[in-house]
Amino acid sequence: MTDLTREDEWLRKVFHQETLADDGFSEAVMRRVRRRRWARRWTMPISVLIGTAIAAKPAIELLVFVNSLFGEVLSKAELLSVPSDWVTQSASFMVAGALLVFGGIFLSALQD
Amino acid sequence: MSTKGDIGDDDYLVAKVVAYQDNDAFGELVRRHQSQVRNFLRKLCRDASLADDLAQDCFLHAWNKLGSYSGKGSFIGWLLKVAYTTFLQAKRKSSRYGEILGELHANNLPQNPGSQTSDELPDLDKLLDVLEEQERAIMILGYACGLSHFEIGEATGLPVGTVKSHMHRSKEKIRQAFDIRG
Repeated sequence: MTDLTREDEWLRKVFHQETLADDGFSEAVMRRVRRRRWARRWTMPISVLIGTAIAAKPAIELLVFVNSLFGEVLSKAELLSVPSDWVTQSASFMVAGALLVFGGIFLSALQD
Repeated sequence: MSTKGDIGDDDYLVAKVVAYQDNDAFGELVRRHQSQVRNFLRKLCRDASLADDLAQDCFLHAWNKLGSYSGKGSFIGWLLKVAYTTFLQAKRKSSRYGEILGELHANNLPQNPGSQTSDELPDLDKLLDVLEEQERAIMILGYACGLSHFEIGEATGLPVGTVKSHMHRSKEKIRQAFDIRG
């Protein structure tokens, strides 16, 4: 046996560790895992509901504002040959669509 | 002893957790490895309750990151890497760890190391106290957890050559501090 091996053997003895009894440790970890899973499952839907409730009023106000803005501009300038109602409706849909797309991107970023 | 692909194999249990979010499989992994993870952290931070808190955090992190386990090294090697990272993060955040280490350092410095024969075993805390933190982690992973140089490298994020040189330096420090005679 070389000196190096003897030293390694000595170090192994010094560092030797007894097997620790579980004593409820695993159960405590699993409780935290279950809690976290539950939180992860429900946090997002609850946040979406609250967020929608908070954002609904400003979003509607924004749509109304965009509608009226387009209506005003078109009625004054008569820039397009198509009926102005059609343009203002399209603008509202576009803004609503953009809000939905950005909302979706924001949600998926949150989930990640 | 289980072989790869066995129902009792770590990798099989990991696959079950990743694919089906299987709580029972993860519980089995925790039961299997809790002793080694807690022992590693107890030696590293030298406070049992703090170490057990960190071990719980470590298993939670492991549960979150299980998808990143590639299966290349041993599962315990990967788990001890998570444990070491958890320890380092906690140390950065917590002042409690600093206080505990300060107390230990004051109490454990080998005042008169004297000579030591191979049969006399020094107190592990005193022995660890002569080492730097990274050397301590490497020695614990090598001699207490039985990891190979490669696995220690994986766990600590160091190249194998650096692990070997840290081990060499650590042994030298221990030899000097405890004047070990064969």
